[in-house]
Amino acid sequence: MSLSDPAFLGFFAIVFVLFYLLPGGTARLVLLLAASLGFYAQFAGVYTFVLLFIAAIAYVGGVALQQTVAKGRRQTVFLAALVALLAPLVLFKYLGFLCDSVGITLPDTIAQLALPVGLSFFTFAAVGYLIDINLELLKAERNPLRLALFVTFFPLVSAGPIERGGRLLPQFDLAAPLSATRAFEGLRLVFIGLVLKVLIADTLAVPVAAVFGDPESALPLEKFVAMVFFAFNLYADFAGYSLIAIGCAKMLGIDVQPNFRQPFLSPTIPDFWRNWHMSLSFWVRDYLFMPLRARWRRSGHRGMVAATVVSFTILGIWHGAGWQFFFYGLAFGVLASASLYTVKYRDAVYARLGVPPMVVRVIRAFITFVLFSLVLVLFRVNYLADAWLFYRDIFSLGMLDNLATALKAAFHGGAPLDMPMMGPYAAYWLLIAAVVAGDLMARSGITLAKIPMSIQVAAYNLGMASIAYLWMSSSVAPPFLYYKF
Amino acid sequence: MTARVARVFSEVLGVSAEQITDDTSPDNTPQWDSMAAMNLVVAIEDEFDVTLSTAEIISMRNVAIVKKVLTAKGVADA
Amino acid sequence: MSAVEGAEVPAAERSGLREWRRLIVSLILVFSPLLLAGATLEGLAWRIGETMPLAMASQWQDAAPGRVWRGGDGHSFLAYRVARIDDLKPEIIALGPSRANAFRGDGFAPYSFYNAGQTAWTFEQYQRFLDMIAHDGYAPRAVVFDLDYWMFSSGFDHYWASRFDPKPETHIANLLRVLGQLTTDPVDLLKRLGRTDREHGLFTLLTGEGFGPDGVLTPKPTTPDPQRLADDGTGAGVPPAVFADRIADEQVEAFERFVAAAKERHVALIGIQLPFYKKVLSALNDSPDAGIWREFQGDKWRQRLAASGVLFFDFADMPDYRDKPEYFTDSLDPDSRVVGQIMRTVMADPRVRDLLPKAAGQ
Repeated sequence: MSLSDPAFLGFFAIVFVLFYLLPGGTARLVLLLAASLGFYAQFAGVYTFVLLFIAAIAYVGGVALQQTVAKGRRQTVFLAALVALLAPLVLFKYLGFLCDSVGITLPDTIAQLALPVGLSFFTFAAVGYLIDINLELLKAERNPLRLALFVTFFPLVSAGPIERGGRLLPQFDLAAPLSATRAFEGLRLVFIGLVLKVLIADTLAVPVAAVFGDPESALPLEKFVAMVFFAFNLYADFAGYSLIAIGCAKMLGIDVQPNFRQPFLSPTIPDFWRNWHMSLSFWVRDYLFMPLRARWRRSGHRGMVAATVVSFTILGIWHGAGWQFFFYGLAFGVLASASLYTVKYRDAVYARLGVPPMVVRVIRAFITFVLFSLVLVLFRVNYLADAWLFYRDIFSLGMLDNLATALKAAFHGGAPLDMPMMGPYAAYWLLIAAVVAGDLMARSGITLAKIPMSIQVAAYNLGMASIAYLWMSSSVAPPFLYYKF
Repeated sequence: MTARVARVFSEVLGVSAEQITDDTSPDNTPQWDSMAAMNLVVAIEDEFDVTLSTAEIISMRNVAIVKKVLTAKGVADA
Repeated sequence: MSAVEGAEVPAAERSGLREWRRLIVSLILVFSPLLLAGATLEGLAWRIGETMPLAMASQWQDAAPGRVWRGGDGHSFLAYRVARIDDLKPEIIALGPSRANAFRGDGFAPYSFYNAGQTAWTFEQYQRFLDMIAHDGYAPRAVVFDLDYWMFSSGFDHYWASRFDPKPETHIANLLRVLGQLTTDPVDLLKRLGRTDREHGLFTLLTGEGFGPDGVLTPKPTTPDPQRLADDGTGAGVPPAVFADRIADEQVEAFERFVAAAKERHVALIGIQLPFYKKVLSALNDSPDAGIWREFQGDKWRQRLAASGVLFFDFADMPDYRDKPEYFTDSLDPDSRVVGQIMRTVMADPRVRDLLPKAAGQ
């Protein structure tokens, strides 16, 4: 069960009740640890030992590093622990791709290894912890149970947010009594998360899958719309999942950093990455970009660009072992560098043209969104070659033709453009409008809690009714054929 | 040292030296972005003739910590 | 510890309880519309009988005469029939696909009868059905079952394997079905609620069709129009009336296992190949691909069947009815008048009279 499955609601309710029935401290720690291991085991079965391995290495490595004073030996301990922590990630995720690229064939037993759920996430959490100890920004956690929970904590283990030891470990005293207010805050986050994930993301996924599954048959405008839909699909999916995780943690009295902050309202690509998948992007910034930047600080612009491009490329391939992810990261590295170096000139142009700041923001947000969506195509295509189909079509005369037809239909009452792969078109745009409206409200500080209670109640009931309906429909088997005979 | 630090920050970030306080950090100073951060490091190293380690660079999250790091490296509080 | 009656709860505990109360009461209040709607839907589905557990549905059906049930979309028939048989413990059971639905009890009086049609399609399923119903000392005296040529075609068991599902429909599936109907035509559905004292199951409520207390399905209307049967989607070459070159050995083995299982339980077997409409008959007789049909009609097979201990009656070709559409609900399903005639012939057979002496006087 993932965080958005109905079974998880039941599981979490039980954990929540037991948590607050138990006295604070070790009892609750053990409960959460048991729940986390059980949660992970039902996902990953025997691969749970990978999770335990990472936790064990992080614990032992951290304590050893803390106790080692001599610089040379510290370096050795750090590198050994780091290699051990990264080994499963390389083995399960990247080995196949690396060998394919070099022409080595792996034996079947290795080639067919499945990727344990969340490996990229909890590996990075553990590595960040180790690096913090190495840089003496953090003291090693002596209590193995607390460290184990840091690595395995069930709301975060499957898809993040990737937390820092310094933020999470101090919160594992787990002594706070039940607070209904805090529980409501957490529940609101879970509710919004479920709406985003189950109602919006899973619905938008349908036309996206249709077009990306068969790009050759899709019109240029269909490709463009699918590209836009996918950006919102991915956002709703990931942001929703993160909110469920953060909300559950909050209900247990644990504060987890946000993962998304209305990224589509960002005016520039660098700013976008400060608001999209923040836990990963800040991890890359603090543990990859800053050290590289520091190392190359005497290399002027070249150093800055190199650090940016390398960091983003690694961020790209973190997502997956494949050339499309490499280019995904590389593209953002190039775009981010270009943005950093040209922002002053662009500011000057807007100022010279006398464009009001609000309009500038809107234009910039729009351009940033389109750039992001274009690069995101690499993320979603089933084959790298398909990306070329997308880019070729979106920048083609066919696209202009489609647009002309669509605009004529909208404003002159001409025949609408037939887009068979799109399905209930208007409904999807409505969902996207809801997401954008929600983001604008959130940016303006209008949270769900501040809305009039009657509207909140209506939203909760309608939202949960729709989610429950979707959950129920997806659980039902298809009907018999020939049932008349 | 405070005045020298303030002058370095002011020159690199383009803000007046009076605005630089112990609390000044990237969170409250938009000019202190990732590009400026390394320029600051380079400028501080040049001004005080020190070499900062990666750990020290990463830890310098506000002006107060900058001064602490410099003191720890033996820079006189002049 | 306080000695006062009603000892004081320590402050921390009190605030803990208060927080629990706040949390739970608020959740209930906030979600009361949804909870009410859900409760209403559950209540409605229960009243309609769609979510009623099948054992209860069976008891409901016996509590008053003439009550009809048909719920679900076909998945539940097997579980339903088994529940009915558990309650009724009938002496004679009709078994088979939908063709068997036409057998009625009057031909077997005074023996108690239950029609378990539309639940089993293959010999292996017949055998599993026997396993499901015969326990705790109960077994029917006789089973009247469909014995059609196609059951011996290669791969037949595999093709119909997924139809035999001992599990009834899930509660959620039934609930969604009621919800679907409620959103399609609520007024009509609510108007029909008055009939739930006699009709249970959404399908029955909407169509009036369903299984009676003896398991017999309300008959579908027939007309003398040949076009109806020409267009009904059934025919030779279309499953189950498949073409095949010969009788398959593995199917014969399945048949023999079924016969042995019945014998072990002292259940007599009466196998009947019910009539086909002329569309199917002529196709089977004329087609070069229907070797299995000719083999099945041949003497060698008839002798083998006779030797197996099954009382077999082949009514596939009934000259009085085969040309008349009004006696067929579709080209494979003769109506109860035809089947009634068949039962009179069967019950007059001396071997059957020996088997069922009490009915012999009818």
